[in-house]
Formats: sequence, C-alpha cells, structure tokens
Amino acid sequence: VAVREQKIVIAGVGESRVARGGIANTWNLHLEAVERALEDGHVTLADVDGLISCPSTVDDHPRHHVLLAEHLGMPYKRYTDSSRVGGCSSTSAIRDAVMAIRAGLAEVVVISSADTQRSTLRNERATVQMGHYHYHSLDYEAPFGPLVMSLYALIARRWMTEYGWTPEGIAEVAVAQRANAALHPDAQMRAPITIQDVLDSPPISTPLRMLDCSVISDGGAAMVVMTAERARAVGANPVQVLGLGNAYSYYFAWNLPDYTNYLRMLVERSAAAAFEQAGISHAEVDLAFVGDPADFCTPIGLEGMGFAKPGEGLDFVADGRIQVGGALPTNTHGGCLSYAHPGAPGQHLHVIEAVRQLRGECHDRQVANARVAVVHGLAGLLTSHCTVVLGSGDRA
Amino acid sequence: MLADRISESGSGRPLPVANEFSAPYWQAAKSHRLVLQKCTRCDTVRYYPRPRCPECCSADVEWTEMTGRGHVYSFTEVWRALAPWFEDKLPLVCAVVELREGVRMITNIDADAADVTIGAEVEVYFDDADENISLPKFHLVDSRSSQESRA
Repeated sequence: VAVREQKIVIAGVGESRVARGGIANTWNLHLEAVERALEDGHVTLADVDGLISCPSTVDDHPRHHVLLAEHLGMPYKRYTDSSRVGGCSSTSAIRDAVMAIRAGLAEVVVISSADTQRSTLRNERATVQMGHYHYHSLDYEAPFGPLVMSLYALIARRWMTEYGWTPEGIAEVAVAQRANAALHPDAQMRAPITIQDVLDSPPISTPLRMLDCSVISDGGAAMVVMTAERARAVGANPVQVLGLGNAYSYYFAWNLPDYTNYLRMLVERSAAAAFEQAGISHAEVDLAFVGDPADFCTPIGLEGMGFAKPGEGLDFVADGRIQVGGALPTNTHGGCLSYAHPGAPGQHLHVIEAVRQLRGECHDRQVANARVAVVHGLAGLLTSHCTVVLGSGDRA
Repeated sequence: MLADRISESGSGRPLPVANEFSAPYWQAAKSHRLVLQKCTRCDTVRYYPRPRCPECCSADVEWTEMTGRGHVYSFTEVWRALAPWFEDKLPLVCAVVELREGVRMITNIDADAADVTIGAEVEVYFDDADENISLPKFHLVDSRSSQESRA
C-alpha cells in the first residue's frame, strides 16, 4: 500500500513529571517526555526522522525545533518544524505529522511540548503574570487591565447571558472534572469539590472564579506518530488517527463577528471535517476531550461538535454526564481544570489520556470498551480550533 | 513583553506606544476625539488601526471622528492586578464596547459592575494617562446623566 494511503497511528505517548514549581527551564521536561514516548512506541531516537515542537510560552525561540533537536541529540532529521497555534499546537501538530508521513517526508515523527508556567510565573500571582508572556495586545488591551482570564470571562458572560447559563451550571463542569481527576493518581488537584466550593472561591474576573479556571503547572508531553504498518513491525500498541479538522479565525477575540454563533460555527466546521474524514457518527463516540482553560469552554466545545443543540451545551454536561461512568465521559484525566495545565502541553495531555483510554490502560477511570475518542483542541480565546478523531488500534 | 511596557512608562502603568499606523489615532485621542480609520473604498470602519481594510484590503483611509456612543457587548469585573499599578484600582470593569459605527474595542467602564449590563448605552471619555497618551474609556450614559442631575 502506498504510504499516502496508509493508516497513520500514534504509536507512543509519554509525559514528564507534572511538577508544581522549581523547574529551571523546559528542556529537560521535553527530554523526559520524548524519552518516555519513544520507549512506549518501541522506537529509539535513531528511528526518528521528523520532529515537531510546540514551543513553550515562557521560553520560546524563533528556531525552537532546531534547538530542541540539538538538546535531544538528533541534529540530523528529514522533517522539522514548530506548531504555533497556542493551546491547540499539539493537536494541530498531529495533522502536520500525518501530512509529512503521507507525503513521504518522514517515517517516524515525534511531537513534543513542554512548559513551566508554574515555576516561571510565581504561584499565586500566576494568573496575573500570564499576561506578561502572551498578552495579545500591549496597545489595545493591556492599558485597560484585563487578565488573560478576563478575556475568557468576556466570552463566558455572553454565553451565560444569551442562553441563561448560570454560575452553578458552569461550576458543575469544574466539579465533574475534579471527580475525574480524583481517579488519576498523577492529577495535580484530586480533592473532590462541590458547586458551592466553586461559588465560594475568590473571584478572578467575573463571572469566573478561581475554581472555574484551569490550574497552573509545569510539565512536558510527547507522542510518536508513524504508519500502522511500522507500528506493527516494531510491536507498539498504537491508536489510529481517524480524522482531522481545523478552523482558524481572528487574532483578537473581540474582532469575532460575535461571541456565540460565530464561535460555535468554528467548532462545528472543525469537528464536522474530522467526523467526516473519520466516517463516524456521534453515537460511535465513546469519550470526548475539550480544551478547558476555563470550565465554560467544555460545554461550548461539546455543543459545537454536535453533542448538544445550540445553547444547550450546559444542559448536556449536567448531572455527571461528562464524568467517568456518565453518558459521554469528557476529559477523563481531569483536564486542564484539575489534571494539569502547564501551558503549551495542556491539551497534549488530553491526547495522551485519549490514547491510554483507547488502549484500555486507565484502571479506575477506564471507560469500558472505549473504541473512538474525539479530542477538540482550542486556542487563542476560542478563535482557533482543531479536532482529532482517534480510534483503537484494532478498529477496522 | 508587558514588563517592558511597564518599565518604559515611568509610572509603572502599561501604556500604548504609537506606531506609523496608529499615530493619528493616539494624536486625536490626546485632544479627546475618538477618530478611527474608515475605508474610502467600502466605508468599513476599523479598530485597531492597521494598514489595510479587513473587508476589502484597500489601503485608502479617511480618519473619521466617531460619535463616541455605543453599547456594552460584554463586561467583566477584574479582581487581580495585571500590573502593580492596577492594585489600588481593583475591582475594575473591563468591557467590550460596540460603537454605533459597528466596531468593538476593549476598554474600561467607569462604573460599579453591579450597574453594568450587556446592552447598556455608553459614551466615551478620555483618561489622560500621561503627556502623550489619553485612553478612550466609557461612562454609562444613564448613570452619568443622573450624576449630573445630582451635581
């Protein structure tokens, strides 16, 4: 079978320790994650001829992928680049790896993300200092004092006002994600929380309170992509990339024509392309992942992907439906809200959890008979979207 | 980086820096006029100042004074200081204001968050930040007129 027609798989995944401070820079986190992903994928650096880096938000470099390759000790490679779409860089990088392999430009591609937002931005002031590193506009935003979370809050306010979404309703997402994280031994936040805990947590930027927002972590994440044939040959336990879709739009979210319909349209188009390519229906999806810088993003993602009607995403996530054991377990590791959010790798960790679920490796939080997972990456205040449909290795 | 802007401003306040496309905007703001680029080919008004029309890509512009009126598209009450300068201004109201001319901008509303609603009518005023920069911010139209009647 010609390489352009072969199935492409994620053959290995790995993460560094998800740390809570004290990390000097990102390089060692990249190396730890890559080392583990290679081992998991039954390949060595000598087999790798492609590298895609997702640069750190705190120590980026114009030629980040070249520098990373040098740190890894793989100066020679056939394909190399960085994926720069903010939080959905890693999901977008899967697309790039698939294209590179199908085009015959590389055979084994490593994707690596690492960030040290926890260490670099001092703990409790981190939400504030986020602004120092990737503030969208120093001329037209910063002079007015919005935090990064304020820019999310402006979007949350529109959805809540237009569709009657309540603080209690969005808090249910945070509660459900914490319940999932409680089942993961490595999650940063595992103590169960209640809706009242979320409502009682300090305001960050209304309507968002501290527990509505993602945690802040250090960490690295990596995966190895190759053809299904190669994965079989090396004896890996792969997960298939069944479909990909993207929708990119504005830089400044306040330039979106509106915060609800247009934004939902972006999710719809990204997901529709991925579902079509995968040839799957919603009924076939066993579990979902949605980028979750804040809790209200998860219902937007699920609704946009077509799991709920317009405006009804929050009803969909209620009553534990997105918890492990619910109708559509979502972010089963706890997501950026409770598992970890190191920055660039935040949604890479969603992909890793999806792979582990589809391989049946998730113990207490394993979704029974998980065969199809959809991962929706979002970035840039929900202006950029990337959907990936993954299928278990034995799925035809 | 934001840290550079804070150190550059002297006051510790992050302030904008004019460039070749935005200089007329900031110049007008200095004289308390909200003046934006209007495309002379398709009449689209744009914010923020930039070289080409986002609708038709024309570079031809007429700097046009806005009515300064609009409504709140969305808002948030900010409880953490983006920079130390903001610490004694908290909580502050950040908003997306939609001008009558159709463009949206991030700004501040000089009001208690409890008095702000989506759709509320607002009017521009200028905050003289230093000798070069005046920032366009907004009052609630109703609350301002009631303040005037009290005065």
